Amino acid sequence: MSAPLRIMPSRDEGSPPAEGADTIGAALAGDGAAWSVLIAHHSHRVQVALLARGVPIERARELTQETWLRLMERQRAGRLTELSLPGLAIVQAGFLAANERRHSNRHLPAAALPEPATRRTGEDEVLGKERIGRMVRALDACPPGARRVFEVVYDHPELAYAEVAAQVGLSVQRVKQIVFEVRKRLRAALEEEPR
Amino acid sequence: MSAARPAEAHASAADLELYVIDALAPATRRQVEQHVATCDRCALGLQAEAVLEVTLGQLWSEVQRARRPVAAVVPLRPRRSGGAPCPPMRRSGPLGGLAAAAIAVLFIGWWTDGGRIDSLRSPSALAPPPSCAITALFHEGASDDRLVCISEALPSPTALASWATCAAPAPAFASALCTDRSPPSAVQQ
Repeated sequence: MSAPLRIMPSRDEGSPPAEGADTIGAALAGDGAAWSVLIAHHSHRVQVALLARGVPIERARELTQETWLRLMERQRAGRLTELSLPGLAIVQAGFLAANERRHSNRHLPAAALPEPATRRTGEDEVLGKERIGRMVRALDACPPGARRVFEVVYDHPELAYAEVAAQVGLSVQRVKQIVFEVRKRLRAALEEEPR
Repeated sequence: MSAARPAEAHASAADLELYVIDALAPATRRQVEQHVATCDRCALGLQAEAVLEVTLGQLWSEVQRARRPVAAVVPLRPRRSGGAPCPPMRRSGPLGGLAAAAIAVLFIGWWTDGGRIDSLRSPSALAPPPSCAITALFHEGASDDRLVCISEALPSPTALASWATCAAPAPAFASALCTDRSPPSAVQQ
């Protein structure tokens, strides 16, 4: 394992600075401060995406840092004309994780490797629709205020909690609590057995 | 949101969930990270939370689509205010559509009569259909070089396009078609 890169700012200093409309443009122009803002905003989501892939937490942090370095290198080389975040960073991180897994699995027998993804069947489609229906019902059963907060958070993943709080007129703490509660209901809906 | 506790203790389900949604206090977050790095059970719990978060993010657009219809349904005929409700509109069957198409074809045939849209025709469209060429042969003595359809009866709608072309003034190259001046037997009357 390589030595961890240290480009991620400490998140103990409070909320990251707000990401303005021109932050992406400035980052694409090579502004280091703009990159710092973007990294502070989106690193957590990138790390969660890696955790979901089964990457251990320490390695997920390192791969997240490596992801940003790769993106900045691409920008410096003039090979980055668009910067859609956090999507691009998550894709880049997923690529790095997959690459690493391939290398570490080289010595394993083929049977130990995960099965390739199969095509969705009609049954999958039906189950998927049922799942969406359960989520819709769970969300509609939430109080309108909580629903609104949750919608802002998930419709705008680029917004920090502080920005969401300012938009909906609540405290940051309350916004986090609402997200926590609504998410709990959605989890129950997702885990519910199909009828 | 959650009180700090020793790093050796397992992370609670709430802590793992709060970690994933980035809602933990910095001190607690550090403790969770330290513990998860050494505890397989909590690492699996954190992975499950992360999978849920990614799934939520992926399904969110579909959920919103299902909750918000793409566009409101606009009634085609608003009800009259105050008056009696409008009688239900009779739907025309397939014959109605055919009749409309036939009328359109007839109109086009009439409109092209007299060469009114000659300028719109391409040179290839100006080539007379075989029946017109044959008619030109039949009228070899005619001085005005006009093509005249031989059929006295109104042609069927499907033949109207050809008929219209026949009715149009003959182009100069029409006479060039008349290489054989003898009337063909098929059109002899």
